[in-house]
Amino acid sequence: MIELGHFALFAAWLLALYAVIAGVFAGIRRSSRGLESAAYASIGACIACTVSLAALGYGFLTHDYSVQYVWQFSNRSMDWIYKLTAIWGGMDGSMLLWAFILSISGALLARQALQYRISVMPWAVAGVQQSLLFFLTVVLFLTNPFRYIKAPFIPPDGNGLNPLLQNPYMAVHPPLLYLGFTTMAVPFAFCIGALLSGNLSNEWLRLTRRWTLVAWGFLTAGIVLGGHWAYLELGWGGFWAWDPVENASFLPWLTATAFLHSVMVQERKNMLKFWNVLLIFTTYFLTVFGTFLTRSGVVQSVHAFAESDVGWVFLLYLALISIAAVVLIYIRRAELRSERKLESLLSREAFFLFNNLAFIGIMFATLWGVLFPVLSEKVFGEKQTVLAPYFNKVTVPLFLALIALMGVGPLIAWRKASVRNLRETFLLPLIAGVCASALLVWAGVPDFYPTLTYGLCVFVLFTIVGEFYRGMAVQRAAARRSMAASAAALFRRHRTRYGGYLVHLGVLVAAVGITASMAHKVEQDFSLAVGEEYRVGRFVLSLKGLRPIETANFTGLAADIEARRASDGTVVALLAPEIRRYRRNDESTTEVALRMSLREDLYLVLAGLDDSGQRAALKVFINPLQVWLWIGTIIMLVGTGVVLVPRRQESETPVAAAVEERA
Amino acid sequence: MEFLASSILALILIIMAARPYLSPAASQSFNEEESYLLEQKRQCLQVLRDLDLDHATGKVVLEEYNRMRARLELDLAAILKKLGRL
Repeated sequence: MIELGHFALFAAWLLALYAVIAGVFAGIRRSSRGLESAAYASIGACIACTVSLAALGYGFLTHDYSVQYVWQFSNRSMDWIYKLTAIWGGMDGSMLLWAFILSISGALLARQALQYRISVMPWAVAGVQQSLLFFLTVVLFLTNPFRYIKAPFIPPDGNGLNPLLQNPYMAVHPPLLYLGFTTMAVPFAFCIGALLSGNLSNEWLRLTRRWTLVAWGFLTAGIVLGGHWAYLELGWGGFWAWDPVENASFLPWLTATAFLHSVMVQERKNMLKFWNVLLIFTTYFLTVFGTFLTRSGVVQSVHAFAESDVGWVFLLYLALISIAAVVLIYIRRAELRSERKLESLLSREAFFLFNNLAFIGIMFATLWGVLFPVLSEKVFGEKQTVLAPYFNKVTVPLFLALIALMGVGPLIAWRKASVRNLRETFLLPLIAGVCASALLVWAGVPDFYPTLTYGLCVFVLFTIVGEFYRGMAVQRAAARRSMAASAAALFRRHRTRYGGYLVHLGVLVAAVGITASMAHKVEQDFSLAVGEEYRVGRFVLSLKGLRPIETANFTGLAADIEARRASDGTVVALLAPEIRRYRRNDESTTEVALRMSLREDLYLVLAGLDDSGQRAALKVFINPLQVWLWIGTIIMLVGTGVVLVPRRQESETPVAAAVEERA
Repeated sequence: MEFLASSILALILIIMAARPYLSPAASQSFNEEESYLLEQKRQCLQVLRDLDLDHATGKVVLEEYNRMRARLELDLAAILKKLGRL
């Protein structure tokens, strides 16, 4: 199977190369057959990548230790699911997974190109395939996972996977993140296609917007799942450490989010054309740049599972696409000029622009924090690490500005808002927000930023609820529907708008979860002997026993702890934090025990035993409202799904029928 | 066995990529104008729908609403006329 996998990889590379050539030919000659051939070659490349990935997976499942990569990242004692997730446990396999997922985007785009024949399509197909060609080149010639082991005999067992990666989240977090990253290649390809073909109407933008939204959804899910993995697996009680790898996924998310807002201004007002092209290009650039940062070892990361010396290839590719983008933008500069000017700073388009500036501000602040250690080493000869306080200090005010803009932007009128519009829409939410902040100050919430955040969240919540209420009232008055039917009609007829509000609602919920869990966190270290108790917050923890663990893969120790409510003694949870030592590579990990509730998370870590071997050293965190971060993310993804549901045929709409009749 | 599987895979992939050139049936051509007009129509309808909702929820005053709606309806009528000719 390994030979088949290797051959399929080479076939995929050839097909991607052919699809680029055929796509460019079809774009220049407007050849339908050329487009079809490029599209089918793209689908073929996807099939070949699938065969290649499946062959590697088969190698892992059948313990084929003649393959260097399989030997390096698996062993016989691992569960079958971790043998499969070990495919992306190292650099070589994760690059193959990247190429495989990118080939899926390429195949889906090819299918779209076969149905929707416009001049942008051949270029777009070629654009995605050039990205696939680059990654397949890296896999095939630099990080090939099908290389045989350089040893006189085949080892009887493998080296094993990093214990931190032996977690169920690793089955979904990297693929989701890669789906987000790779799908961003499609908007980039459309953008390059529009610039090359000269078809800069809003048609390509609409197609791009859907693809970006899909990518954004995957990226959001991938980033948050990564945070959840860090929360459960790393044992430091938090979910986001501003680690370079986290930042690498966050950077394109920021520019993609900015684009999803500014694209509305172009669709409606034919403004920000140049800006949108720049955002799409920057987003794709940052996905590749992030991969370069994390795979090259340029920056130090707790995620350094998959480093190698392929950095120079990524730099070369980044330089090439940057030159191509700059040249194309320069050639099309006249067509990229806005058709209208901003009429008032009190308008929706102006607020979308402010929103974009805040996103870009956060992006640059984060990028600076990521690059500063590298730059300081190059310039001053000494590496200066940038830690979380820098990121929090710089980005929190910008995030707060974004929350405020989220309340105002979608509700303010296009072109120019009237005083009456502002008063009617924002007076009540403003009063509610100020009252909420005042109430919190009165209740003794000490810090400035949390108080401001909660106040802003209440303000935005009132604007969203008000918007839903007004919209439903209109639907209800028009057709005498029930409230539920009115809400359904609202989502059906104005999917983008109300799906967007749902996303914003999710952001609010997540923002409250993030703020509360960070600002009001309780953290304590203590030790317990069997039978002893310790009070923390509103809980009493008692150690019931210490239990050794013995499995084929690891040995360990678990502390059985009973958590009771201090007020009435009710048992709320039985928790068993663990320490594990993995047999093959002799690495230790802590397994967190967690009691999750809507009010707070009780988070326990077993740090070890004291010198006497009788007392368990424990660390406890109480993270208020933590679960709302995950709930908020689910709401955001549901909102994204609502926006993505296809609209019914326009010709069926009554407005079109009426106008058509008159026409 | 692996050689056979690789050969079959290669054959399938070559046929896939070459199929458009081997097929005697005429290929569907680019329909730039129609898709451009359909996109214009879609966009126009979306703006109309949003404008109606903005007006109904008090975000656009009546005078502005009437002016914008009349202009949009004219645009839409022109697009539909062109589409009809195609």
